[in-house]
Amino acid sequence: MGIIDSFRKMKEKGKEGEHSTPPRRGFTLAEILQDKSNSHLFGRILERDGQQDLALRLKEGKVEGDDIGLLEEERLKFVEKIEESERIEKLLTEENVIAIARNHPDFAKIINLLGPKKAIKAIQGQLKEICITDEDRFKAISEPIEEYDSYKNGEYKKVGEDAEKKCTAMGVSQQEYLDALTIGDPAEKEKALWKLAKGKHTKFRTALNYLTGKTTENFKGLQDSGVLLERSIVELDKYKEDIGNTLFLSISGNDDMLNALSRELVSENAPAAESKTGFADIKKETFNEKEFDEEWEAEKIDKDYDSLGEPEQELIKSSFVERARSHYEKKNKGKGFWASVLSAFIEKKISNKIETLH
Amino acid sequence: MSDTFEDLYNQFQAFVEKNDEQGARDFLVNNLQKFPEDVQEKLTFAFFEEAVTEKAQGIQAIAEMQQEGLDAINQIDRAKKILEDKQKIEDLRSDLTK
Repeated sequence: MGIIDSFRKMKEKGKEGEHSTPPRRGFTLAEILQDKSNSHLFGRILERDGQQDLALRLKEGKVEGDDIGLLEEERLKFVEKIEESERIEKLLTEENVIAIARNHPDFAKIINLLGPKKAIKAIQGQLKEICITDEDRFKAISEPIEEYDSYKNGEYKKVGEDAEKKCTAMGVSQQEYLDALTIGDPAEKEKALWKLAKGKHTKFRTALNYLTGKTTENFKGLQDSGVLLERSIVELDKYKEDIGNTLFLSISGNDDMLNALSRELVSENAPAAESKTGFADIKKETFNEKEFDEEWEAEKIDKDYDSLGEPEQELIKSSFVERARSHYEKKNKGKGFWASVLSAFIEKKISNKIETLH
Repeated sequence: MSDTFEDLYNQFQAFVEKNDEQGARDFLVNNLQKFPEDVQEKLTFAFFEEAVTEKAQGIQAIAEMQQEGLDAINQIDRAKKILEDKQKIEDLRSDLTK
């Protein structure tokens, strides 16, 4: 009897007479198990919730009466996670992904290589997995995606529009900005735009410091001094112009300029270094094949592996490999770009190892 | 040279040994399609995660700067109004004393 038949029989027996809202199409337990990708994700949610024994019984088609309630609970959690992921996936349109790639040359190359559709499919698949296995990482990525959507359609859009109106009212325009745009060589153009963004933003900061009293000769001092009355009006106009110039760069609608300005602002606000896996850490965090092989030999002795039949041996192998995968996954969880790359490699190395275990 | 996952992994490790981060990044991007499909998806996601985080930080920084700038301009306009009023009073006073 297969897993699904076994489950169906148990469910008929255990749930007679009960009525509940019908599950979403494609999301009855039988349908989840029939779908390769969903079945894998459902396995991950059972693992996450410490239900490895239940997963094993399900795999062997040996679900028991008490399992029905547990499986339904897990199925509901699974559907909830899938819907949470789908909410974010909907924001990943081709237009958005291309716009995100614009300020990240490596990701832009990947989009060009794979094409946006394939890249989005890959991202969506990973999002579902992460939504189930690593809530913190999912949050860390869903928030910026929502932030970007908000920039295009929400509160940020309103601030941008207000800034644009202000610049129009002030009649701000900049010849140097227009000159920088005409530079043909992309590297030179980037350099010129960055220099412009840096210069304008320095003046912007000086103006804000002046207004908030962070400079010695500040606005309050000037305002109270009759002698400096006239000079202060001229100075205020100058600071207003400096602020307007930076605002103008931020609303110009030119992506290259916006990237240059945002790089300048982000580097200014950069927080202290976080404890993430840096490139140099990869060497010590990588997959230890020797250790893996030694542990496997110990497992074989512990489980009296050689005396068992093939089905039992297969179960021991898959459970051992799963434990190893989970160990490395936990080690690299939420530790940044290089940890994610390392995880991808380690997972592949481990899944390849299963063929070599005897 | 054949491009099995193990070969690619070993080539990547050579960059790790040399501590050549930029070389490793370029290697991943330039050889992405040679990796098995499941690894390709994870690598694509890692680059996307980095790109979207940077993009959001930039957007937030721009929006904060714009808000600061707008507040500052409003503050300057109010201050100018006060100073201009004071200036008018000064001018009137000096006219009266002539």
